[in-house]
Amino acid sequence: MHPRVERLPSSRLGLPARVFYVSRRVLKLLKMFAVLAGPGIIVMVADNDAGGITTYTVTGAQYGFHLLWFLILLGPVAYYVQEMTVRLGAVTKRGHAEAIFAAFGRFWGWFSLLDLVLTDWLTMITEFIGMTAAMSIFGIPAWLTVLACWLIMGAMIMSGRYWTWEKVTLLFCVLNLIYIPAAFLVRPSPGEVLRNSLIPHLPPGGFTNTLFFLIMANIGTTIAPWMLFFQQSSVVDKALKEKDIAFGKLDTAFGALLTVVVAMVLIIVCGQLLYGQPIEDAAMAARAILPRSRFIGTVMAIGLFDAGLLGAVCISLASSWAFGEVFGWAHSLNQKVREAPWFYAYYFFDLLLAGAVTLLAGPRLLVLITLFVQVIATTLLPAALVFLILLLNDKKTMGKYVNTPWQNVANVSIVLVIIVASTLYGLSVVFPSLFG
Amino acid sequence: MGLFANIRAGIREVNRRYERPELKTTLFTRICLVCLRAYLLLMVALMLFALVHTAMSGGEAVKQAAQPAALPPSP
Repeated sequence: MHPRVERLPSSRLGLPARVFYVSRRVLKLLKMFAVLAGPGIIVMVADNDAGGITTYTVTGAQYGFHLLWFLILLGPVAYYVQEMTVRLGAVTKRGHAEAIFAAFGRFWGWFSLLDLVLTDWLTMITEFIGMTAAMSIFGIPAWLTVLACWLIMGAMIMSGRYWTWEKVTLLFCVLNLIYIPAAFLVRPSPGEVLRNSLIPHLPPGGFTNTLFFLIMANIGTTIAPWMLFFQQSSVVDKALKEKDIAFGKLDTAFGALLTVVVAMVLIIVCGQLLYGQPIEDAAMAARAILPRSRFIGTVMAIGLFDAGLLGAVCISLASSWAFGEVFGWAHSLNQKVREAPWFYAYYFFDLLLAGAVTLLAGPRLLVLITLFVQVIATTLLPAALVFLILLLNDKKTMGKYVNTPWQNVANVSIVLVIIVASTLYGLSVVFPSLFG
Repeated sequence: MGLFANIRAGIREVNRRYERPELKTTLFTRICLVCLRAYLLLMVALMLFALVHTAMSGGEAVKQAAQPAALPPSP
């Protein structure tokens, strides 16, 4: 600052000078945010993986715009859960798997780790299913898609720098926003969108079994167990400090906003173009839209591929980080392959195995996997959330970042709802006749 | 054999390192963990039952789900 200006109290600065210094401060904060943002945006956008995209397309095709308000409610829910991992990671400098082992002992540690690995691997298969289905729309054979995915995902992490991986992944996150123009092109009624977004209501037909399943599916896709492990490990690998927690929360909030926007956009597009049609997955939706609008159909297919790719990268990393933390291997993206061989070996093993199963397994096995991964995830999510809350209430470890009473009220309420919803959803998938 | 021996050694080391939980187990924590165990036992039992049931029924639900659904006719 100019010495003469520095001596003047701010109230005596002229308006142009004040605007200049305020805007400089804002620019500085934005630059700080750009440096520190990443884990929250990536985990939230990757949350809209192949399974998530399918859920939203089916929701739109089945109920039009009637569940937009519900998606908006899920945004803060996802934020409140994920921001706990930011605090926990920044304060303890430990990943979620290691934190569970250390705090709760061997039994819960092994349960969480093995359940995570199994759920992640099965979910990776569903991501590959989504990606191959998306590319098959353009006539690209499944084996070529899987091979390309292996190469892309492998290349993404080979730089030996977390920063590089993060920025490349953020580019793929930006690609995930490709759906947004489609929402304007389908020309939905703004009044109808606003009304269905702001006023909670049941769709025509009332509360049916189908509505129940879709609500549960939406909840299940918004908060997935791997997200807790991924974001906390990512915060640790990025070396976020306690003083960065505020930016980490902002990063998570922005990511939650993006995930809700993409979800709403998909519901609007499918609600406008495919309402009432028997759509079962996102690839089918893209195929159904293509004859009506080549651009939107193409956007749907590319978006589905990108969603699967992002999901696969993040899910595989979540498992690799978890293993590395627990076994004490070198496990950082800031380390090259020869410095962290087991970390990268597990990542590639996960990818290769999931891709191979996608190519070699028959349709029945793939459907079974798709059905059961949702159920298996319900066993991990409640446990992971309970552990998270207990850890965030440990004042000795968390210090001033311990959960406040209001945070506990909010988080416990969310956890209870999710436990009940996840359980009912898991039961409904396994025993469809139980709910009529 | 070397690989499996390394894995076994790694598992033993993990078990040794995390033998004692660090978190102070208050009454509330213990209640939460007991409820969680009961819940998880129930869920795992249900999943196993469902797997066996699906396998014994010849995977009828899976067969139906695996049938390709007809696309809606083009406008």
